[in-house]
Amino acid sequence: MVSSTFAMEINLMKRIPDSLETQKPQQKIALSVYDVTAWYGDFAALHNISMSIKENQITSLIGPSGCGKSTFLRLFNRMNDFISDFRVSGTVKLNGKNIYSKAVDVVQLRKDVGMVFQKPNPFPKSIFENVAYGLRIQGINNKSVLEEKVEQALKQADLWNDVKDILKRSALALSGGQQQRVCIARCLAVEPKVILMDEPTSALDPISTARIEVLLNELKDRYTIVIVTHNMQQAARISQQTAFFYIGDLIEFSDTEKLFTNPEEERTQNYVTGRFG
Amino acid sequence: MSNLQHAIFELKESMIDMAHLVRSQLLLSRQAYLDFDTDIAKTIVENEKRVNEMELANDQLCENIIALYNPVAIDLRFVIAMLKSNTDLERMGDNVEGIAKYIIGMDKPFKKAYIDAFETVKMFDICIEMFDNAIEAFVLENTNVAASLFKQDRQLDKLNQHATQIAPNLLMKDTAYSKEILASVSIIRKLERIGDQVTNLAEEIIFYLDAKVLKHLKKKKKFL
Repeated sequence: MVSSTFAMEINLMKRIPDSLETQKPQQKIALSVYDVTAWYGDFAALHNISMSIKENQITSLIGPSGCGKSTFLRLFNRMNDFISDFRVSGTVKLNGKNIYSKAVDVVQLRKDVGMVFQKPNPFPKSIFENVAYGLRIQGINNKSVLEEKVEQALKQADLWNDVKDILKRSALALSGGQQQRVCIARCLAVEPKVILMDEPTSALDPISTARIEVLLNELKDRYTIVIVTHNMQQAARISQQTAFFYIGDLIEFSDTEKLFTNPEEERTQNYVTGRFG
Repeated sequence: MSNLQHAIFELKESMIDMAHLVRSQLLLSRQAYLDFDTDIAKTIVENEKRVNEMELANDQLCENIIALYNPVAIDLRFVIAMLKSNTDLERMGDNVEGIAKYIIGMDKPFKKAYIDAFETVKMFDICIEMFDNAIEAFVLENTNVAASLFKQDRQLDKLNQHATQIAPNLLMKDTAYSKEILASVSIIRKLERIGDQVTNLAEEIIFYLDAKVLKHLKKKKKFL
C-alpha cells in the first residue's frame, strides 16, 4: 500500500507542470519608448532611451538625483509639455499608439495615464469632490453614477472604510497617508490604463508607506504602474521590473530580482550597493 | 567608505582570522600525527573552543549586516557566502579536532610503513595547500585561484579511495596494529572531508564574486 505521505508527494508532483515557463501568459506591452532623447533647452536630460514596459505590472525607475528618471516618467502623460523649453525626439507609445503625434488629445491621454505625486495634493474640497473631480470634468454629473464611481475608487484605494462616513469633510483634514490614498482614488476614478507615481511615499510614515505598497500590489492586476522611487528597498519590494538611470542614460533594465541580486552592469551594482549616488 | 562597506570589511577580516586559526589547527594536527605528540593534540582540542567562539561572532556580524544595511547584489552574495563559509570553517575545525582526538586515543605511534602506505602526509599537505589557496583566493578576490581547488580535491578523493582499498589487507596482516590502522583510515576520511569543505569555500568565493552557482556540478571548471 502506498503511504499517505508518499501519495501526497505524487499528487504534488503531478501538480508541477513540465515547464513553468509555458504556463506564464505572454504579457502585453503597455508603454514603449524608442530612441527617445529629451532636452531642456540645450541640455539633454535623456539620451536615446529605448525600453518597453509590460502591462499589469509595477516598473520602478531608480537612479541618483538628476539622472532623468522623473523626466522619463513624465513623458508618458506629456507633463513635460508644460515646461517651455522642453522638447523630445523619438517615439513614445501607449498601447501601440504614438502619444506625441499631433492627432493625440492630451486631455484624453492624461485620463488614460494618471499620475500621483510625491506630496499628497488633495484639492481644498471635500473627500467626495476630490475623487469626483476628474469625473465631473468628463461631464459626468449624475449623482448616483458619481456616488457609485467614487465609492468604487475609494474601495480600490483601500480608503472606503476610513472615510465612508465623512465624505463631505475636507480632504485636507485627513492624515498624510490618507490624503495620498485620496489622490490615488482620484486617479483611479477616471479609470486610467496606466498610473505614474513620482515618489508617492517619500513624504509618508512607514505604516502609511506599507499600506500604499500593499495597495499597489493589488492595483497592478488592473493597471500598469510606473513608479519613480529613491527608496531602493521599495523598488525591490514592490516592482517586477526595474530600470536604472544615470546621467540621462538607461544603464540597465531587467527583472527586479536580477537587478538587485546580480546586476549586469558595474554602475548598477555600484549604485544599488550604495558605492555611489 | 559607507557604513555597509565598513561592516563588510570587518566581516571579511574576521573570516580571514578564523580561516588562519583553522589552518594553524590543521598544521598542528599534521605535526601531532607525525610526531605522535599528544600534547599538541590536546592543544588542538583546547583551541577548538576559540574556533566555535569565532563562528558565533561571525554569525552575529552577518546577522547585523542583513538587519541593519539590507545588502543587495554583490554585498548580499558576500554575506550569504560568509554565512555558509563560516559553518564550513567551523566544521573543518571539528574535523581537525577529531583527528587530534584519534591521536590522543592511540596506545602507540603510527607505523612509518603505514603512514607511507596510506600517503597520509601527502593528504595533510594537499589539505594545507588547498587551505592556503582558499585564503589567497578570498583575500585577493581571485576566482582562478579558487577554481584550482577543484582539481586538488579530486586528488584527495583518490587518496581516500586508495586508503579504503588497502586497509582490509593491512588489518588482516597486522592485527596487533588494527586500532592504529583503523584510526589512520578515520583520519584520512576526516582529511577528505576537510578537502570537501575547502572546496565549498572556493564555491562560495566564486558565487559571491561572479554570481555563479557551482554546487552539485561534477565538471565545475566547465561552467567558469
